[in-house]
Amino acid sequence: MTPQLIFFLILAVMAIACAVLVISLKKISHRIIAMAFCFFAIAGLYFLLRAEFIGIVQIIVYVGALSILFIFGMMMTDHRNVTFVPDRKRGHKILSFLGVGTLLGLMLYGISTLDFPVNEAQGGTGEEIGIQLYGHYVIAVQGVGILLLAALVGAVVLARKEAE
Amino acid sequence: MELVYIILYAVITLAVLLGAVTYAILFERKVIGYMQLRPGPNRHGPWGMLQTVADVMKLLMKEDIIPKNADKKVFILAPIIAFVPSFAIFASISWSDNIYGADLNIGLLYFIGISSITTLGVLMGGWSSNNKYSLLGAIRGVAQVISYEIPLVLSVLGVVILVGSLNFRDIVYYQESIGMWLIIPQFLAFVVYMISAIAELNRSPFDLPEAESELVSGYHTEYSGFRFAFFMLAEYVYAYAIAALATTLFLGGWLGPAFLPGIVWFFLKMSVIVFFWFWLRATLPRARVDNLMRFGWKVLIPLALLNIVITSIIKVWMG
Repeated sequence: MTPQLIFFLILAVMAIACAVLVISLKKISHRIIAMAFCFFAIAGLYFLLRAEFIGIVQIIVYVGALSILFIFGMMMTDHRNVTFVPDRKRGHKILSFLGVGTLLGLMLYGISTLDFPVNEAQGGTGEEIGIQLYGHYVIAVQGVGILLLAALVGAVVLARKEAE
Repeated sequence: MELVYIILYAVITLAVLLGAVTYAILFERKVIGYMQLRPGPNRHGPWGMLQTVADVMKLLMKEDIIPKNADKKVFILAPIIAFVPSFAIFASISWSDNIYGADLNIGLLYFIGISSITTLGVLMGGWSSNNKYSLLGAIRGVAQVISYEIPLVLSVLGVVILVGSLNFRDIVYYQESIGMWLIIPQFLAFVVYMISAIAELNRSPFDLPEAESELVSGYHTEYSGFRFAFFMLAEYVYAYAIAALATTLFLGGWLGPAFLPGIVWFFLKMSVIVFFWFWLRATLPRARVDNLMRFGWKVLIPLALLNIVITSIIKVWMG
């Protein structure tokens, strides 16, 4: 086993286990921490694929910012001790199992028929992504930026309305 | 074989860091002592050399207490999450021309990204203790760290624009090629960086999250013994990491006259910055929380943005 494979297995198991924990844990606070670890493991997978830039952006945005935003939301609104107990109706269980099974089948089929490019030049460095984003797609980036700004202003307006 | 070297490098770095932190604490107490005209710790060993060692022994041998109403799993996990990223940062730092860990081409981003995880540990610790003071301290701490991370990153961007690379080694080689340290062309950025670094590290005069007189020392009130030691360790390791970053970016890294090896120059410059922080702690009173926030958002961020604009204009104008 190469070190890459060992690290891949550790990270992959961690990502899947944490994703399952997000659903199965009882307390919302524990779920958020499991989610942060899941994001972290995925960032590690990006690092293994030599896409360091994406990996680090994943850590900054998801682990560093989004998880903390979630925790703040949980602390500020009175959800600290809320627990979720899933209802155990049989029909519900069977239906969700079928749905998830179909999704898994479709995804496996899609992945197995995919044609992955092998040994292509690596394009994950910060410089190349920068040239693409701010050179070829600059208008799209600006558009997304304005959209996000509008969403931010909208959220502030909505929150203020509720406070009044 | 490569894996063995990686592990060896990590172990050596950890050992050196632990020793360095032990003596940083001693020097902090000594420096503050001399500035307040008292001798500081001087009972254990010559010149008080074993004072921190004794303190650490005491911490390690203490009973491990977890509050009854605390969220146990999170409580145990929090110090580890706070400490691990502070150590992981050191993988990217390049100590001298040929002593370095990972030569990442996004070294600077790695540094900033990994260090943002510690906030999660602080928040988890403060919140799982189930204690009002801890929660207040954690919220204050996170609000402060998030607001001061923006000027910190923005001030560093000026250097990145000038050099055109995020790699620490490239940044130092650039300073070698232009023949001066980047503190001269980027003085404004350096000032903004130093101020926001102090706030990032929760050091005096911006040590609001652990203000012992009002919050009973903030997010780690409920922690004792080994876990408390982890939080303290993370704090001091961060102080070294931020000093190392300042050395690399603004003070020319390992560059210096040739009669001393590069790594010694690096450590000397780092020590000067760390001493500067001790000096501030001994002389300045604590800032108020609203002043702190106002200063961050209304003074530091505009200054950092101004620095970016000026730097870009100069860069384009110079070609």
